[in-house]
Amino acid sequence: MLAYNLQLAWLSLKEHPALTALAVAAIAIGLGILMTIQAQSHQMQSLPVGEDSDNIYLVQIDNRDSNAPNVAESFEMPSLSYRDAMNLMAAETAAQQQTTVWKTRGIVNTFAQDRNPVRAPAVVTTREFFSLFKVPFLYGSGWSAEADEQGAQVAVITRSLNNALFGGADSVGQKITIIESVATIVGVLDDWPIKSQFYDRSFFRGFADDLFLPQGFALNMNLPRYTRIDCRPADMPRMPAYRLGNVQALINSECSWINLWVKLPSSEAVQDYQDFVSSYVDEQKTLGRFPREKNNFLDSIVTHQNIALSNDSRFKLYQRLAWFFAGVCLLNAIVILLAKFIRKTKEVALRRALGARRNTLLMQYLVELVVIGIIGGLLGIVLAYLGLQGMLEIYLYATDYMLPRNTVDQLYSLDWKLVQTALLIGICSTVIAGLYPIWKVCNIAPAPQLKTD
Amino acid sequence: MGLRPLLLSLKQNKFFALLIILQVALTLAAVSHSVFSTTVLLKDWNVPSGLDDENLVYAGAQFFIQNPDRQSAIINDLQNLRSLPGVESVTTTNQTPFAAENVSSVFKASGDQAQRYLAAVFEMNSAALDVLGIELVAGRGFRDNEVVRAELSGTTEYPAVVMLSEALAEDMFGDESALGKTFWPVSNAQPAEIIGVYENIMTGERLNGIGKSYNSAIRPMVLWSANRFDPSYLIRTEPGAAPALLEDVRSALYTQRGRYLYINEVLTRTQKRMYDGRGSQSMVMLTISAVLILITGLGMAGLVSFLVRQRRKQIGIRRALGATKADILRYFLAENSLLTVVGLVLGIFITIAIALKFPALSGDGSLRYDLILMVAILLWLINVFAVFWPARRAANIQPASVIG
Repeated sequence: MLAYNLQLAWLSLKEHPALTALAVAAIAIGLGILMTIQAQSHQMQSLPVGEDSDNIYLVQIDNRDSNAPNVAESFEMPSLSYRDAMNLMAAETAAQQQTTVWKTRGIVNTFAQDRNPVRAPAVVTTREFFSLFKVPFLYGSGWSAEADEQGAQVAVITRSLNNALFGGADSVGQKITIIESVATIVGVLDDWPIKSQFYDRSFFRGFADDLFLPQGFALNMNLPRYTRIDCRPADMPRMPAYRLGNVQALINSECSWINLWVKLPSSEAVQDYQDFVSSYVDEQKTLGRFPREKNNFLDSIVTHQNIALSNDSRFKLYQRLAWFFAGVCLLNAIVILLAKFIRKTKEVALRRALGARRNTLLMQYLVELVVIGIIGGLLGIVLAYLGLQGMLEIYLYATDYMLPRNTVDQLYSLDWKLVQTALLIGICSTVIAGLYPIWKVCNIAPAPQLKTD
Repeated sequence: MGLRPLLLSLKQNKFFALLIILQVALTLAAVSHSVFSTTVLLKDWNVPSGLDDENLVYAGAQFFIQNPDRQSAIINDLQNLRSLPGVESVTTTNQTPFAAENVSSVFKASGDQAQRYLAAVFEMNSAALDVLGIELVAGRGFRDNEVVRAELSGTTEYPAVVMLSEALAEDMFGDESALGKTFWPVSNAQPAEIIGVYENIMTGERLNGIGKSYNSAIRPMVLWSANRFDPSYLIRTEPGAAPALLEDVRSALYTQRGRYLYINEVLTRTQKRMYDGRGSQSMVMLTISAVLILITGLGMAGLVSFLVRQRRKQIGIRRALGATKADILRYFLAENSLLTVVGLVLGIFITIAIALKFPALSGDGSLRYDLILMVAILLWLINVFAVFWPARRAANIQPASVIG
């Protein structure tokens, strides 16, 4: 029966090729536009640390001055001051793993002759960064716990920096200069497929961080702080010095600049940790710190990522317009399908008169709709692929090819899940679009139709 | 021809009529909003730069070692760069045109109540006008002894003179001459006398949002400090020599050890980066809008050709009863226009409602009635065009062929 219906559907499609093509085109274009945007959104929402993304939390304490505006979302809340980050790190807590993160820039060179130094965006952190965020290694590994304690002069570099400095060879044990200090490479990262830099809260896409250093080492070198620093208004004039001057001034200040991530595997652990931070704040308040009312945040990577995404107003605009456009295309498809099926009025009337059951006819046309939906869906996927490639090219062009293609192209890619969704949307929307037309045509009373001819 | 037969016929095809109205309305709303955001995006897009950007190189190197001798490095750099074949003149600068990221508040009076003007403030040496290749509109340029060269500290003596762009001078002083007036580059800090007004140059994107792309001032100073980015260089080359010079500039700056080059490019590229992001984003929106209009138009054409076929007999009869070809044509065009106009009116309401409900959808204050009207007229024209061919086919139906 299905094969027969399919055959009929095929014949019917061929019968009005122009109308069929229009219906398919309307569905394909609408779907293409929608999927081009949804694919990016889907990729942006992909979890950087897999399922653990929900269990890794950023710790935030409101350490702003008493006149600061109220804050309802963690996005607007500063990170931690050095003092608080170190106090929280040192305490016995429910955290299974924890690490601190801030950003700097290293000027890196090898000991080879006639090489000019290169600039490397760098992450200052602790050894647990790599295991907490499941960072893959190509050679070597992260540094040891002693290295964290002693601020050892060690570094982990990315595959791309390793390619630039050592031609891709295993460089573990090699020495590089970072500004005026010498560091030993202990590990080289493999490609780390994250869509944006979540670990410093920037959710920045583009230039990947190339260098990872223990905090003690970075502080000894007095590396500049190219990271989000939130200071109270009275401290603002000292901001250039906090960024570039002696780091001790920033360490002693109440400015917030250190991101503390903790892994809390269960809701009890989360509750424990919240209580711990709360009592820490109370205790510090007795010492005269934290002038504002207690307002701690413990949001997961997923929450931070969703907030960052919803703050991307340009993308949101694209998304809204895409839905709009897809809606217009769907309306268009309904109009065309209606025209297409009303043409069958006479045929339906004749078949009904000869005894065909309404459900048989409905079934037949439903199969025809599904066929149109599949063709439209497949074409839509092709269009979405082309759309994504186009968006990628435009993005690279617009940024003047400053960004390496491989750091951004993941955002513009389709995966199986998306293809399935697209096909499903294609079929469903076609069936929805065609439901009224086929229902209408199948409910026409046969007699008047036959009489007029 | 009256409306009555039209309405009667539409009543027969209620669902069609409703769909067409809705489709026209939504198309209008979607296209209008992408046009709104395009106009916001393209505000001050591709305005003339006022600069000969093909023959300007922007290069900068930053020290990473502790306590370098910045003063002699700057003197050496200027000497080395000037002596390169193909280089005409060189100035130090704190930022570059097209990428002047720092928007400053400048004042024509002291005190906390003084009115703010927004401008990009450049710090250059006495070669500024030569390098930029711009003329003075009034006054004079900097003398070499007016340039302050110093390590930045609490006691730095700031320059006593300043030059303003024509646009900033007009903004601040209107029709009055700006020459000789006093100018505060920083609120309540050491003021300077305006000695020259120069032709407008494009400063960068940051001022664009407030439509002040040409507001700039140049102060004669070369400052350095450990807490500040080292001065970079703006280099005027002989015509066409810039691309070939980049490698020489790089070597010249790398002769000084302990620093890295963070920028070295022809200004054309800087300009491209400034404009192309917005340009291509707008192109995407407009292309998608065009596809949408095309789809709507094709849908309309398909639909009318279906209606024509369905009404073949009626048309034939009407022709036989004396209706002219023009009557038939007019009938279809009128029917379609009626639906389109209802759809457009609905669409205008939807567009306005959305713009008021979600101001962020296409940028604040972007609701422009003239643009909605233009999109509406365009949509109507496209629809008339789409209907014209099937309607003409209807007009050509021979009465004899349908009355058998």
